Amino acid sequence: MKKSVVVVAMVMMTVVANAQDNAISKFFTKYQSDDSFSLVNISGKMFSMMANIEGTTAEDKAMIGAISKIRGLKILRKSEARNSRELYKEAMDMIPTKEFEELMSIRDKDKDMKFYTKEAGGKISELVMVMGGNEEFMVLSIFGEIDLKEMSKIGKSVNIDGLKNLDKIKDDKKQKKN
Amino acid sequence: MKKFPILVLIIAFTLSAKAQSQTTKDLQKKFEKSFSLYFYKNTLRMLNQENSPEFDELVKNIEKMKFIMFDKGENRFSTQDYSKLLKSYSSEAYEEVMTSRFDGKNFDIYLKDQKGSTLGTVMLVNDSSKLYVLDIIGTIDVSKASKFFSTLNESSELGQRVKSFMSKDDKDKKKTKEVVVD
Repeated sequence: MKKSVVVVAMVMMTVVANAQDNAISKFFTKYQSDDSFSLVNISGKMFSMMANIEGTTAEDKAMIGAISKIRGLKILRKSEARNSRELYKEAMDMIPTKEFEELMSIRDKDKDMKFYTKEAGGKISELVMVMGGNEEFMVLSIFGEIDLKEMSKIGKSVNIDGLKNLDKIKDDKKQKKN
Repeated sequence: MKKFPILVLIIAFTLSAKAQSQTTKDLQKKFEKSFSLYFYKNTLRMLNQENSPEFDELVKNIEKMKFIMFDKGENRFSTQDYSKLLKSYSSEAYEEVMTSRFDGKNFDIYLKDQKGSTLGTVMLVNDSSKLYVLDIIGTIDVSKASKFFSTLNESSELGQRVKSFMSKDDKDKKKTKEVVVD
């Protein structure tokens, strides 16, 4: 009898553990089959394969090291979106604010961009970026062990617009000190 | 006597591990008029007539490569057929490592591995008019996957090389070509 209770508890725990997905999973599930969205979904295996590339410079090696710790990347983007503001609000509402801390917010012309991070054991385990403009919307989630210094470089090398803005973190910090 | 069946099993297992995907074979069988190309290690090197070290690097871990392309309209290949195709790769223990959709084009990468070593890689591009399937035994540098995408799309290095390679052989109007050098 005891055994069956333990087995049931273990099964329940597994189900709960699997249900604890990244922040934008629900949003992703809702819109991934909508053809009006562009999407990218890269698994951890792909990143670990990238880690096999030999870097020539110390900078390359640092970036490859950071890539190897990424467990997944998800992007959903919609251009010419009349409902971009609603999508932005919907995505923002899905971010669990108890777990995530706002890292940075940017307003550039008509675009609002917010970055959130989730920390576990002193390390960033997830980075979420939500961007909404008049006719443009994008949500991005990177999970694993995140090195923010390297993320901006990775963003530049794989041409992910939003991530390039992580460069501004340094500037923000300088301004706060002043 | 007992050793013999075990040996046969081991050989059969090794061969099946190194064999090209059954899904790709079935696809080609079903759409037999599709444009198909087979490349082996040395044939791929032959394509590199400009001796580009980058290209050699790109193909160095490819043992064999099959490329299939067909017109979806002519072959009545629907979105549902594409979804079925992806499921079929998954059922063969290929793991989805990347999915993407941009401007109505799907670009997906599937990978089969065993104890950390890659046995096969399948890349698919599904645009509004054509389906492109690249079935590789071995692996390519995944950081250059986007290069393969633009390749298949129109003009990247490998695409141009394949095109120029094919144009030399255009007199021979066979739809299917097999190039074996090894």
